[in-house]
Amino acid sequence: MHNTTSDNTAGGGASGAKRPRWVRYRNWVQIAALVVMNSYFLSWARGFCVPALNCWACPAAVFSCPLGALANSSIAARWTLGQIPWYAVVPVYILGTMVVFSALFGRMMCGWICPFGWLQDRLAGLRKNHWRLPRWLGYSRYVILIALVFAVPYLVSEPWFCKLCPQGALQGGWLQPIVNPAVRSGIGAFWWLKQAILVAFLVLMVFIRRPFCRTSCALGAIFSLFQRYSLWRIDFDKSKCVDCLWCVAACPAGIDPRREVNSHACIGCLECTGCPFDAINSRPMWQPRPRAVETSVGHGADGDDSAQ
Amino acid sequence: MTRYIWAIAAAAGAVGIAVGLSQGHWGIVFQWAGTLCTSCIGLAK
Repeated sequence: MHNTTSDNTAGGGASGAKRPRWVRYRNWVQIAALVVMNSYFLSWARGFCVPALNCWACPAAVFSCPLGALANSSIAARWTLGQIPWYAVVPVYILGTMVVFSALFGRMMCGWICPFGWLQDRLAGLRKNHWRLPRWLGYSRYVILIALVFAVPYLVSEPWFCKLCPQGALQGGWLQPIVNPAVRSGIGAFWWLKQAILVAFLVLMVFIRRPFCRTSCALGAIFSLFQRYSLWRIDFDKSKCVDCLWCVAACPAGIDPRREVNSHACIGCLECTGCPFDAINSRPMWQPRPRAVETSVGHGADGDDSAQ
Repeated sequence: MTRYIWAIAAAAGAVGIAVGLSQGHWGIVFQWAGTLCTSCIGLAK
């Protein structure tokens, strides 16, 4: 890890000259999403999976955590496989919900409505310079998804992603003991382990932009599947880029938008679209790509064959 | 062709949701969400 250069934004909240007006309200959208997801009185909606990391152990949570639901599905599959057809144990409802969101918005949920993402943005704003992460660490999310959400819960009948999740330690681990005295008697070594993981990530959030999203979020890994082909796109125009690194400083995910917009690491926050030289723009797929635009890239071409 | 992958994926996801709903998955998820998640909180069993 080493320091970034000229990273002078507050949690990615750069003020781009030509950034679409609605992108400037991203912080307020994130706060609104946090409130809606934890609005308590809508608790009849808990059968719906929210496309963000919002722990359902939070006393005020009104939606289901898709990762918790998937881990529980893996546990249920172990006990029902053999009794019912194999295709009946596939959690098509949960996966279908995530695929729809991913196909339409890629990882924009990470950048716009995830409460844990919002927390990371705010803590990153405490420092001007941030450490960079090796790119290969971005693939650990997929290992965590397969291992802790699917394989290990299936094998040991315990939702191990939930057991280690720092968002659960924050929302459930603190709020449940406060509002539910009966829970306090269960606090032991494991609660402290979860809190230690939470504290470690909170500290890292100050020094590294979005460390949880980039290394550990299994939900982000699911959304990454269609990031490159999603309805909402970001275009990079190489001919307009002067390598001023404005976008690198503005990116709350700590990536280089010149090379990685629409890649699996991009969280779709659109902060980079404030490029002072108009080199980065966003568009829905139904709008034609501007003629001069090379293409958005991310470890190579984005696979979009809709060139004019 | 890749231009329409999002539409194909979204349609497949919508079919998955419909099939899941018809099999009662919504109620199962609702039940899970209504049960106190001791793993999420970090409680000893």
